[in-house]
This record gives sequence, C-alpha cells and structure tokens, in this order.
Amino acid sequence: MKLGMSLYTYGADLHAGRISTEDAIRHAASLGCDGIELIGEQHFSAYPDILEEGSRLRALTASLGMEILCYSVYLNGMLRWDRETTFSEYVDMAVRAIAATSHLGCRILRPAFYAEPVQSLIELVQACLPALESYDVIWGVELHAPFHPMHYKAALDAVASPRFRLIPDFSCWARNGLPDRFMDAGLDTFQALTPYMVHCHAKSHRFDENGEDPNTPYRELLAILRKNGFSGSVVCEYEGWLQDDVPYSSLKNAVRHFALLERYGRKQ
Amino acid sequence: MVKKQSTAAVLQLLARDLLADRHLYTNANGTSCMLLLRDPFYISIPLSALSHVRLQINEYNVPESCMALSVREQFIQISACRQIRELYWHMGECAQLIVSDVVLPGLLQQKNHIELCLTVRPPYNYGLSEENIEYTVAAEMGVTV
Repeated sequence: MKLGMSLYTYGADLHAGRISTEDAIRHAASLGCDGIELIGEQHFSAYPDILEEGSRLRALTASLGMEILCYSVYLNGMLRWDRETTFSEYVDMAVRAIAATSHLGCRILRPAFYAEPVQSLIELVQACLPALESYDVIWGVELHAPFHPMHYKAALDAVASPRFRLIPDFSCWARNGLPDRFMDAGLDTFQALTPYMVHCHAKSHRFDENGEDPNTPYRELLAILRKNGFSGSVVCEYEGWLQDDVPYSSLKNAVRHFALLERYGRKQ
Repeated sequence: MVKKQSTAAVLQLLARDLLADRHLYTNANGTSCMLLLRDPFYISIPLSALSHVRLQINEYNVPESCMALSVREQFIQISACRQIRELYWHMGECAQLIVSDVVLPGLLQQKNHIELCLTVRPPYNYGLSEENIEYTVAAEMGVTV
C-alpha cells in the first residue's frame, strides 16, 4: 500500500496565494510521501490546459522520488446558463481528463460527476471504457459522505470492469461531531468494499493533542486495508481548511496528518 | 436525493481570501480604481460561474455596468462573464476588479469603506439546495495611486 498526500490538504495556503503547487509538492516529498494527488482545478495555473505545466509537475514529482497517484477533475454540469451539459459533452470532458491523466504518468483518474440517478454514471463510464483502455487509466469513482457506503456498488457491478474502481473517502465512516451530518457507517461496509478499491482519501477535519483524528477510525480502516492486502494508494486529504480561520499553516497540518497515516498504514 | 445543504455555508467562509490586499489602486486623475481579488470558491472557476458583483464604496453603490474583471490581462465586463466558459480564474490567482465611474474623483478618500459581494453559481452540480453562493466582505481600504 502506497501512502501519500493529496495537495488538497494545502488548500488554505494555496487558496490564499501563500504557497505554490511546487512548494506543496516539495513539502509532501519532505514528509516521505510515496506520491501525491493533484486536482486539475486547484493545482494547475493554466487549467484546463495542463500539458506544459503537467510535464513540469510530473518531472518535479519524479525528481523528488514520488509519483502522481491520482489526478482529480470535476465534470461540470452547469458551465452554461442556457442549458445543462449534454451527455456527449460529458464524454468529451471525461476523455480529455483521461488523456491528461496519462500525460501526467498517472493511472488513476477521479472524475467528480454528480450521479443522480446512478444509472447516468454507468452510461458515462461505459462510453469512456475505450479511452480508459487506450490510455491505460482507471476511473475511480469517489464515494463521499453523505452518501451511503454502498451507493455506487450497483454501478461497479453493472460496469464490471477493472477500469472502473472505487475511491472511498474516509468521511463515510466518520463518527458524529463533525460540522456536517455524517453518518456512522459500520466498518463491515468498508470491509465489503475492499475488492473494489483502487485508491482512498484519508479525510480529516481536525486532530487532537495526540495527533489522532477524533472523528475517524484511522486505526481500524487502515487495519482492514492491510489485512486485505490492499495494493493501491491512500492519501491524506485534510479538509478543515474550509472552516478554520487564518492565519494557520496547512504545512503543519500536513505533517500531523501524514504522521497519522503512517502510524496505522505502514507495516507494524 | 441526498442534499448537501451545509456545503454552501461552509464554502462562504472562504470569503476571507477574497480581498488580496487592502488597497484601492487608482489612476492619476482618480477616474478609475482597481481592487485585487482572489477566487473565493474552493477551486478554480470558469468566469461563467460569476453571477453578480456588488460593490459599495463609501455607501455608494457602483453600477455593475461600471465594473470589469481582468484575468491575465483579459478585460471582461461583469455582465459578459456568464458567456465566458473557456477562461478560468484560478485558485490563488489575483484578478483585477476595475471600476470606471465618473463619480469616483469626488467619492474616494484617504480611507474608504468597501463592501463587496461576489455571487458564484458553482459550475459543478453538488446537489445543493441553493444554486448560488454569496461571498461578502467589508474592509477599510486606503488609496494607492
């Protein structure tokens, strides 16, 4: 299992213009991360044209001994005011993202897509399977609170392809006490989903004085992954920056968060 | 359908970064001024996501027709932003809000009370109960020529 850092974690400082994407990559490397996750709409200053910058960030990441574990984008449904995005436009968007993922030397793409009903996701992924095959990319559908852990299981079974896998966000197994009304799903649901998983978002909103996340069962979740021989990747995704007041350092939170991930994610 | 009703409220907190500094930059004769703004949404947004801009300077409501946004030296009237889907205002990037109004010379003082509200319609469908997110900030701003 590879352990890394989503640069989303550095959101407070990136959003305020205090650090650059390159600064965040170097910081992640300094922590001993195996790799990083990049988000198109957060970490590329020329998005949606990521070619030149993508080459540079890929080279920088490799030079620091890391890999790009996952590339995330949003498939926007409301780009226009006169109508919603059509199915063929969604396919075009997704195929461009698949090609961009390959350009980054990455194999996992997380395209955020509002799948209500879930059947719309099945049809979109099926339309993209040839591109996923051609570019050797896996579409990871992100499972995030407040959706039930089994929300995408029917879609995963319907597509039934190794090119369509699951990216669970730990928020689905967070306990009460968070600002949102997250559910307290049983760990058996996490266990049941492990065969579908390719990558995980280790979500946190805060840490206690011992460096533990009081809302999320990191020890148990990572033990399940290790017990099941999970060979994918898990990245820290600190989200407290959306709420916390400045000034504070996202770098310090990244240190605490990755230490927590290593504590239970490395072989013990 | 699962509604994430609190998402918009949380995202509004990022208005903290909207004003990149506390300066009103004016030209020599004071007929136009400029504010440096940062994208308040949590990711980059196409300009088509910008619904409205409301600016009040010393209790004077600046007409939206007197404002333009400049992103990487591309000047776009606020009312035209809805049509611009290809140009993104990137997270962390400073854009310029340019105000050209004949009343400015008599309006601006050494210290000015500014109230700014940007309304963003997220381009991604989050299943939010609200379509728009309003980012509001108030500040005292000095004039820099």
